[in-house]
Amino acid sequence: MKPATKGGNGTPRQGLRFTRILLRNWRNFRNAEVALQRRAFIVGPNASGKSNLLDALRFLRDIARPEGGLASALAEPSRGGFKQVRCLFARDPSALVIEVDVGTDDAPALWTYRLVLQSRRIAGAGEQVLVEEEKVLHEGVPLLDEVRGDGKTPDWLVWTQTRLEQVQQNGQFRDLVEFFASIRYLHVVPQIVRDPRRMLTAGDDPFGGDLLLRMKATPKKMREPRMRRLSEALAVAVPNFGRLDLQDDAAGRPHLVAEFHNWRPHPAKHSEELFSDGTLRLIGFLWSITERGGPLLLEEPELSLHDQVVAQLPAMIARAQRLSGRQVIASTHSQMMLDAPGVGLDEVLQVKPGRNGSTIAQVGDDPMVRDQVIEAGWPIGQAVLPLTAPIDIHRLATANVISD
Amino acid sequence: MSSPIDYAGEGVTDAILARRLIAAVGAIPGTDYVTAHRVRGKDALDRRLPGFAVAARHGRKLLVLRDLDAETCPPALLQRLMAAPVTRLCLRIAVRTAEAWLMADRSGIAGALGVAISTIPRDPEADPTPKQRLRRIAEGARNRSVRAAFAGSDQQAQAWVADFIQTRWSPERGRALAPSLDKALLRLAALARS
Repeated sequence: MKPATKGGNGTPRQGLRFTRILLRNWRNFRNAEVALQRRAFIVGPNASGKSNLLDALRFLRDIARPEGGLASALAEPSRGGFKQVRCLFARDPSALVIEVDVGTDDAPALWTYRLVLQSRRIAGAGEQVLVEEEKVLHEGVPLLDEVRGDGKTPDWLVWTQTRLEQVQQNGQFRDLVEFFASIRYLHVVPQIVRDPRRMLTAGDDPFGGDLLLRMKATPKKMREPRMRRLSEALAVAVPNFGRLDLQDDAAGRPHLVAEFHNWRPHPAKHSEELFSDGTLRLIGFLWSITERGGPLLLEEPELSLHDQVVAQLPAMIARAQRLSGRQVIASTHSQMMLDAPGVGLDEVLQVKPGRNGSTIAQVGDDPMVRDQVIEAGWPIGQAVLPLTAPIDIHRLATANVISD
Repeated sequence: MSSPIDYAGEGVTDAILARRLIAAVGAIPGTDYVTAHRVRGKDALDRRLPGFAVAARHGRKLLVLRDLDAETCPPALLQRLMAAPVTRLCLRIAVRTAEAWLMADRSGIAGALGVAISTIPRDPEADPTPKQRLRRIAEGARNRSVRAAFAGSDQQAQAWVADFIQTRWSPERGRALAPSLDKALLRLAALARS
């Protein structure tokens, strides 16, 4: 087995994962906290906050990555500034808190990171988002413990940046910074994968615009066996699918080329422009789960896929994790996914909307669901998904959505 | 206000039927355990019963609807499905199928189908196959769209039935001619009060 990479603090960097997240006043969540396993599926009604939970982790990534920082992370078009990300249900104290534990199975709280943000009116500078508190603990020992406190530092500008983003200040916890920066969010949009212009502009594109470039950037020695295994998997899931290859066009841009068997003696060759949405999504999924790297955040990986393919995704994630060690956190609405063999009660997180914002819990913490699964033998999806449907959903079919 | 009553049954129309019944006793329909469930039918429902019993034990109120079909008597079937009664779990058997409950509202279904009331049985629970009886009656409907709905697949007929339950069926009228429906409403009312 390949030895784990050692980080600066002598801890294994590879295999690190989020083990807990606490959110206060972050989008839908006024006060929510949950433990995270190496594989996690987030369920809940539409607009309950599943994507916003993933976004809290993405937010840490956007602060920590080399070209990132707090200001740009907040200004991301999908976030739109502090007031947009602060929970609608926020009351006093209205500060935004993100706190995570990062570790391994044996040491779940190897690292703890806590960030508290608040918007303050600064004389002559208007509303500014300030870091009220930033803490880093390693094995429970504080490496950073900054609390702004009124009047502590007259230079308010100092508090507009996190220590995460400051190379000169984060040396003691560089492993944690790199871990955050290694988070990858993926929501493959087939139209974007097919768009060759996107390939040129997209750096780290959550919508898969850089998927082919990432494949190309993988050393040939590693890429070829992965492509071979990908071909084999796709041949099972996609009828008539043959060999998959990565080939450059005249301009040097990579393209996926696959053989499709038909009645003719030689298979037809198609590039990604002609692949179905489901095929492209499956390729994106399979490539990402087998990539070594930090936590992989996936939005509804079941989209465009046949139910029987979806039922295999959890097992594929588990198998890939044995090689990549990569944590995978996915939002889903799919019963097939949750009913798949091997999915554990501690791996399914339920987001529940309420009048005071959404809460998150492992479904195993719900005694009724736990007993239905363990005692009555119900698959998890069967027990949980009915609870995530809006109570009046049947009225949707008869809702008047067409004007007279 | 009493707590909501969750519900389950063999198929989608049972969900709609359950909601009407729950509303008829003045309670609020809760979690729907049937509409989004992939596997339908009585065998699947029977296998899920222990899970509903768990939910009831955890304080939920539940209505579960099941057809008697060819079994001889409801008490024997209830006994077989659930040896000991479970508090807050109201398992009700339609004699022989839910279509008998629908036909028990004679004026309602005759009006919706567009047939003479005399074609609707006076004792629907005595019919061994109410689903087929309803289909035969619908085949003589004046309205072409009704005839078309029942001439196709079961799924197409279900859509008509679902719409009828939702918009025109009266459990109050039905209970007079369907004793198993009357009993279901009585038990459900008691569950709502509990």
